[in-house]
Amino acid sequence: MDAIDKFVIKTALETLRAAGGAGVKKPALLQQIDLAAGSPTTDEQREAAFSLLRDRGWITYHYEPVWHDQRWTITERGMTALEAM
Amino acid sequence: MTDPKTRVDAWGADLPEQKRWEIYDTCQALPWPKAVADQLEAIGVVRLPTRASWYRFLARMRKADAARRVERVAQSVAEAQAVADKAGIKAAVFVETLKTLAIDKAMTGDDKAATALASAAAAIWDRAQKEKELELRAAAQQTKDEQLKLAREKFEAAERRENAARNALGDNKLTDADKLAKMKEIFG
Repeated sequence: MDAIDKFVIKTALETLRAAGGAGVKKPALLQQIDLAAGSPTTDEQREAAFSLLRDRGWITYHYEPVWHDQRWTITERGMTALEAM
Repeated sequence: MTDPKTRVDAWGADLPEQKRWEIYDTCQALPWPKAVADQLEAIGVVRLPTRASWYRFLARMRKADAARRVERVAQSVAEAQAVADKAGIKAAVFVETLKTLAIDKAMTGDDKAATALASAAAAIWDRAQKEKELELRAAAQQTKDEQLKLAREKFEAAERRENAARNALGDNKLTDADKLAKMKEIFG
């Protein structure tokens, strides 16, 4: 993970931390990843950053009870990783 | 990782922050160069950027926008919680729903709508609570009316028994034994 990726990942985790238990939808998180990258990113780049977050167990999802949307939240491991960044 | 510092002579660095956001919000989707130049002139920007400096400006602003959204999300969550607390909303699902609405709007950059939604939801909750209160009051009144009706029926039955007993006692044609039998019949 190079320096730019780290900034993107950090921004994504900060967004999820700010959203707390309510979490955010995946498209919003991908858009945030795109913004944090500075220049526009491809779908593959955004998905790669998202997969990194998910595969390391830094984020998890739940179904929102009213509209049954999948919403992503930060995990304990993600919080630890964010604090270390 | 710390973001590289912006050069002091970078295009847009000398502009006030509000102006920079105005430029970013209105010009970021416009095609380079004519539409951007026209819009910048309309905003009142004197020094037009070169192509490279314009894209460097956009890249800086996109990163700043990401950071701004993190702040907006945090603010929206806090505002939704404050509105819920103020309205006395106890239902956890309702409060979380308020927060999700607020976050979704904040993530699209529409933080005014986030606050408006939270306030509207709180007003609906308030109205629902008042209606529930009225229903409970109506139910309580109905119970009270039924109790009064029952008490009145009991009183009237007692009055009827008293009159029958008085008549039986005052009837000179009846023997004492008949009067006793009549009393037993009336009072059971």
